[in-house]
Amino acid sequence: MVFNSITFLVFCAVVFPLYYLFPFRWQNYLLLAASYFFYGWWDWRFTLLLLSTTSIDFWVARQIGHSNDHAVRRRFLTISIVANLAALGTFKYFNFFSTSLQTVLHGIGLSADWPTLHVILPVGISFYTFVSMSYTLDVYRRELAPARHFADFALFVSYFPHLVAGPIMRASNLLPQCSQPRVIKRDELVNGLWLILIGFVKKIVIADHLAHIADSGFREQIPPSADANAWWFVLAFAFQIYGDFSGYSDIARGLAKLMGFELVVNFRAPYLVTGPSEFWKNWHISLSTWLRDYLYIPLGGNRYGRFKTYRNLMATMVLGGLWHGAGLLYLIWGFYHGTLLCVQRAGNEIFGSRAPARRLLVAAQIMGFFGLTCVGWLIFRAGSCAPGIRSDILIWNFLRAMATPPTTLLPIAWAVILLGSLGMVFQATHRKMDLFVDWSPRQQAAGICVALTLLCILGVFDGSQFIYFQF
Amino acid sequence: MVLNSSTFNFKDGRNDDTFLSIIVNRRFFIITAVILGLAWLGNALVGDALGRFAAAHFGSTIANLGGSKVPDITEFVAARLTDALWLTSLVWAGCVLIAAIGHRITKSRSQLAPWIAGVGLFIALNVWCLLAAQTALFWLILRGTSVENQAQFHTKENLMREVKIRPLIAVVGSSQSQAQFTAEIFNSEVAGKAWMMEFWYPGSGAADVFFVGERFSPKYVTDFVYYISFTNIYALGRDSSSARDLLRLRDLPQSLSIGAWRFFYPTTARYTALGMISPLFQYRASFQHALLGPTALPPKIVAAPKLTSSDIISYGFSDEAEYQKAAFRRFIEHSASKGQRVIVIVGQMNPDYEALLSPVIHQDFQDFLKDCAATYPNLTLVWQNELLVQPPEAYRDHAHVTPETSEKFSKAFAKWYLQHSLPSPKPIE
Repeated sequence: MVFNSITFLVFCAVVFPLYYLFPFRWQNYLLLAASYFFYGWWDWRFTLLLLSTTSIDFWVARQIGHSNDHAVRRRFLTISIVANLAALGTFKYFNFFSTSLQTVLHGIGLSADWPTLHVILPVGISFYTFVSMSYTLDVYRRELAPARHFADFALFVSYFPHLVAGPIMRASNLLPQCSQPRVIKRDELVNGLWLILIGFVKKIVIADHLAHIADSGFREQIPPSADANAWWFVLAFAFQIYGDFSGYSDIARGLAKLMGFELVVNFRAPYLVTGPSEFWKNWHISLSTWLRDYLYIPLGGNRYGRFKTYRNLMATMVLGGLWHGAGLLYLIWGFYHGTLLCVQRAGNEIFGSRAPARRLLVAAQIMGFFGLTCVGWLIFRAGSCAPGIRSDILIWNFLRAMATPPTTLLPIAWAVILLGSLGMVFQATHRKMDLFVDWSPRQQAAGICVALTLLCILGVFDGSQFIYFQF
Repeated sequence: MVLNSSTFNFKDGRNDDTFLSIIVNRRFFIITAVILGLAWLGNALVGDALGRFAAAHFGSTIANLGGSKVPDITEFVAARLTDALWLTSLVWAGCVLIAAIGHRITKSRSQLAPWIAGVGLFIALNVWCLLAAQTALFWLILRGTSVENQAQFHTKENLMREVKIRPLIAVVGSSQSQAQFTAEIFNSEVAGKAWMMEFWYPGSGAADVFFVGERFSPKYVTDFVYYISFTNIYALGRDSSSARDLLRLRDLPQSLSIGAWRFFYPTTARYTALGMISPLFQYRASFQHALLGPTALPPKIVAAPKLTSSDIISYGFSDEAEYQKAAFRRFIEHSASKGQRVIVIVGQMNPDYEALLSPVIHQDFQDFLKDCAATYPNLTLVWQNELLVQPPEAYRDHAHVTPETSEKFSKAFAKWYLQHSLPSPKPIE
């Protein structure tokens, strides 16, 4: 079930009134049932996997919590990690690694033919696996006590607003909200409505329109029309993915607010930054902090010298890239961002990390880094091209075309400029977007009217999936 | 709603939004109200003279603006001046509403007040849009220089109301109808004894023709001309863009009674339902076209599927064909009840393509039309070959004739129309 569907509207019309009527414990049962129903709407078999992941981690965390023996605790943590990674590996990465290995073996003249798995990739598996795994890791680190009630824990993992595309919630943040009665404040309710409205504008006005433009550019190995158009297609994708994913996060946060929950902020104007480090502090924040806390820092972070810091950065980003999809290009995308981070770090070590004083220089830095981000998105987008298209040729053709700046303003350019500018406005004001209630009432009323009008005129109501569902 | 000095008093320290304050400034309203009043007065006094002046000096340019659908340029100009005043007055009224709502919500302490006001404004905008859409100028502005079906249709629909020549013939059907007829040639052939306008809609089946026919009052349209071929009845999986673009809330009972919703694509059903509630939503194709250009539209809206040879082999008797037949009958019945004549030209596809059609279906198609003609006295059947024989060379693809054939066909039809019709034309006073 996707947020931008009639089915979800009906789902909400049933769930929300009941939620407001029920007492606390029953609210949790209702939300748990609703979340499983929401997830099972794609394929009921997915819920079995979700339930088994949840059950294993609940049991493992209790065993860890009840034991003071370091070896026992470590053994149970291993069980949790192996179980989670096994599920992820089987459903998401098995075929990628097996075919990659076959290719390598063929390359060195060895015959290796083993069958590939014919399994459907469960929607959002990477998200809830990370959510669930972070819980056992936190319990192991004694940062969190194990959950008492299975229902509370199951709700934490499966809570429908964040289940399939994040934000990747931490148990220390969301589990207490599941275990205690929630208070719905009126200003939070209004903020929730705002977030939902803005989220829908981002998704079905900006992202879905730009998707049409970007898709038309990536349909062939050579960018259509003229070389000068290549930039427009990549820009369209850059704003599409921003609108799509941050729109989802906003809707998720808004829905949660309507139920008295608070989900973490996932995006903060990521295209208005001056470098890769700032980008990852503002793009998919819940993933980058997850990778920082559970991968980069355990690997040693920046504590063991220059070489290991670069190695840790690169390893974290490559695995982060692979988290997005089982494909070589996602890996390269991660490597690309890892390289950017290493270069920035090296630059800071040599030249110092002072921000330029002049606004013009800051603007130039923002634009320059946005260009580099777009090159990254080109690699990322090439990872999901239609079969039969050689992504290496496509990327090369695009890069060649992008070397010359756009010289023509074809109709698609106007669309990208208009919708992209809308995206930029949302980004620029994103930090203030949580403070709608601080706007004057007339500004709010005008904003609501404009948002509804944009939805009406430019919204694409075909129930298209969110990009990050596939991860 | 009472407007008084306090309505426009925004100097109470609570209004930091300068832009909105400018819009809802009291002096702004008074000055614009006076200007508007004077403009209406001027229009009443010298509107026609201005029309004559414009017609004399810019006649051909204006005729092009009207898409060659304008029988009288003087009246066209005068009517557009009135349109312009009407649209400006609507904008003015909208600003007054914004001011009043702004004043109300500034006073309210409820956090939900902005939401109520915002939704209220959105509803007002929809009403504004509905009223503005009753003018040809609105659609001419929206249409710009390029062609977009919805804007094109509404432009002609509004211009039609200004045509005083009778009989007024509405050509309905699919793009095939559009290809067959060249209204300008027909109109010049009949030399003021009738006036033809094209109200085709791309991909139309008989049901779409019914939806379109429902829009036309007998006060304006006296005759429908429908170029029908078997695809209009037997094609499967037809998407109804006319429903999405044109169906109004008041059309809901009719569309339900013919079972149209069973055959809409899910997206079409969603878009049609939302369009019935919100004019702003219904006119989205035109707005998008005006704002973003044709390339920015989703593919379902831009590209109608093209016929292929394999399509025709799949044609057959189906629930969908029965639905199209029922809709066709309903179209004729409703036209009869309104006193409108229907001339159905039993047309064809490219003969090479048509040869692939099962003879059984071909026979059923003809029998169905003959049965309808026997049942409904307002229906006249004209066989394509009686007007013009169209060999394969007359076509540019499976369905559409070349411009040369269209010219010949329009002349042939004009000749037939003058011979067979019909009461002598009476201009409307």
